[in-house]
Amino acid sequence: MFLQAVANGIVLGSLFALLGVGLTLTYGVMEVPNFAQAGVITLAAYTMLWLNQTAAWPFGLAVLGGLAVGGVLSVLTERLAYRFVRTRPLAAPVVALGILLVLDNIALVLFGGDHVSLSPPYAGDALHLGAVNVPAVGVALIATTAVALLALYLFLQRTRTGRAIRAVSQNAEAAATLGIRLEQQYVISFFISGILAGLAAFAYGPMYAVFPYMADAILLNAFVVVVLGGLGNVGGAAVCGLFLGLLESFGAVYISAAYQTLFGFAVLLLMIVLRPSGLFSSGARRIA
Amino acid sequence: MGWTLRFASRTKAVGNKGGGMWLSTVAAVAIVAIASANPVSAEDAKTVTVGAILPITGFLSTLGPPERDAMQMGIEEINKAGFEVGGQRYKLTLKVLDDESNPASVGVTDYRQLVDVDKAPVLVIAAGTRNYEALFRRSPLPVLNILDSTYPSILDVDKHVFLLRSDTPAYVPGAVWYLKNVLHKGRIGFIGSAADPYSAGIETWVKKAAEAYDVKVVADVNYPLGTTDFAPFIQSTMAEKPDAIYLGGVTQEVLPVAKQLYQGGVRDLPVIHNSGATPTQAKQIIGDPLYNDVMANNYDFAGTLPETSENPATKQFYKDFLARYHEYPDDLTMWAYDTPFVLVAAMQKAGSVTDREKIYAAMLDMPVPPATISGWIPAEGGKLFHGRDAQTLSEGIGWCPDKKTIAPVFLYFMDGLKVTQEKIVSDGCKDR
Repeated sequence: MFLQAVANGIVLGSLFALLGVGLTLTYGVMEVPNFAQAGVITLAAYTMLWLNQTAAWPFGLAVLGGLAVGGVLSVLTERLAYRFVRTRPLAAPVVALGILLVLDNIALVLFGGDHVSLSPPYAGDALHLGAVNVPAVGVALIATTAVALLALYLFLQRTRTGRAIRAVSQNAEAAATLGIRLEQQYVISFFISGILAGLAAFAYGPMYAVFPYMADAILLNAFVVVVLGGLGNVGGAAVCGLFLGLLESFGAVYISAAYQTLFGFAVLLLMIVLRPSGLFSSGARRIA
Repeated sequence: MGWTLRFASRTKAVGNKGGGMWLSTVAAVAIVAIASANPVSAEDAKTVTVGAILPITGFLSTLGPPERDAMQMGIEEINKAGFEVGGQRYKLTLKVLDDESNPASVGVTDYRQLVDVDKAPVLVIAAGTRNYEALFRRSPLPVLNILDSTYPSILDVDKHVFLLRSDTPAYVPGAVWYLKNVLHKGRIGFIGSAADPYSAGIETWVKKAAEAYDVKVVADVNYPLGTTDFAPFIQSTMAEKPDAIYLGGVTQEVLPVAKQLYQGGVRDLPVIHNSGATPTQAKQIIGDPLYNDVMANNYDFAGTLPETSENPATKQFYKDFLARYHEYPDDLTMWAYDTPFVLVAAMQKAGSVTDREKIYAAMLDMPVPPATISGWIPAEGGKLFHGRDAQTLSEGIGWCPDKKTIAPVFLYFMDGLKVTQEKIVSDGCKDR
């Protein structure tokens, strides 16, 4: 029972981490609560579904197509909307919610309101480790998150572009005076965030179902992760994603499954009271 | 309409050539043709608009579209000859508004539009009946519900509400009876949706039936609204070592849980529900490589399916619906097809297509309309409604893995918690 709860928590936590990192990355560079990320996940999932089931692309290629659409869509949200509210932080949440509504309704108009399944070839498989069962889609989710976070860490730490994004996140004006092109970093950050949204679609779609509002509720958990980890803190989001997954899993098993989602928000409330800057915040915005 | 469109199209083509004389001639011929082509009775028929609030989108969207389509088929059948009330011939039209599976806000707005603005004489609704309670009092009219089988019954909400299907107690206990007496299982793990009153009603009657039939409910968990990862709920349930799983909720709630049960390694236990999921929906929601394996141990208990009926008219409806919409019609679809026939019969008995109170009184007292196909079990005196609830036999269906479709396993009728008219079908898959 304990080990199964750990396994369930890691699967759920991996999803939260993947979502949280994508959100905190864009928050770090632009201070935008990117609710539209849920709409990007949805449309990336539908793209994978359409390419796989209608255009008969192999599943792997369909996923790549979905990732590309996620990246492009995310950049479009920045170019067509967010950049106009960059200096008006109070307007950003409203704009973000507006974009989410637009994206969700595009999905509704294009694909209808039915729940449909994104089915990878391994959808029916499971990993058995003694008494612990982990569905193959859960294993894929853990692996996807691990690889994505490692790649993002290396990108932010070891590449010139990554360092530029971190510089913009810490102090945009100072970064600009050093010759870093801000617009370029914004676009790259949103593209990476879109790719992460696509990965979330690939990993999350097969667990439940694809439908126009598929990521709206789960994104709230991701915001808990972002706040707990410290706004703009990629490492904090990754750790807190796993923490939240384990917390919800253990809470569901040992207290009551009916209150599963409550545990995360209870911790969030405590955090806001006791340490408003987040568990991993050093007092300044930062990326990685 | 077809004549008018052709006339307009031809006029434009001729006009482009600049032939004014041609235009006048064609117009005159077309007008004469229209006048002579239509029989007088059809031309004189007035139109009665049936208002319906259905979940076309949202989490109940597996239900609304087929109900809309079946009602439209019924209306087309009626409109072939029209119907007469008080010496006047009428046709029906259907105006469907989507409540987006959100009756509390969208549905209430739809209600005001159809009842207060459009002045619909009767209303057809599906889910969330309790959300309309205040509106029923303010603008009362006969309301025919074709979906909302919950416990406590929605018939308690307002005297103007009728239920064109059997209520929860009419089919849930039969599922538990089947589990005990045919599948020989005695430990139920119940997983339901905390936010869904349909699921809550099923949960209540599973417990009542379990007590009556000496079956244990060893686990009873309800997941909150918006849950997409059911692993903790499955884990809690399996920890109590059930020998059968009972899932509460509608198709889009039940099938994802069934899928995650399978993915989580729960593959040998029977999975019971009352969702009315069709093979098409199972394939769509669970996914093509997987759905046949997931559904192999599933049993679904609700109203009878048109597909398994012995009534030729019902079988014909099944064939027509499948051919037209490429979707298996279920019990709800069949009841929806009958809905316009019930409304027309009520208007004819009332002698009015507009007087809401007269139509309401007629519905209370009306016999089973002869053209309906659902196999209604009449109340005393041959009336359609038992009080305000129309009832049919209930049916359990199983899955045929070889043919990837459903087949009947159990036909029954409940008299309280006593199963009557039971018929166990052991070879239903043979004829699929």
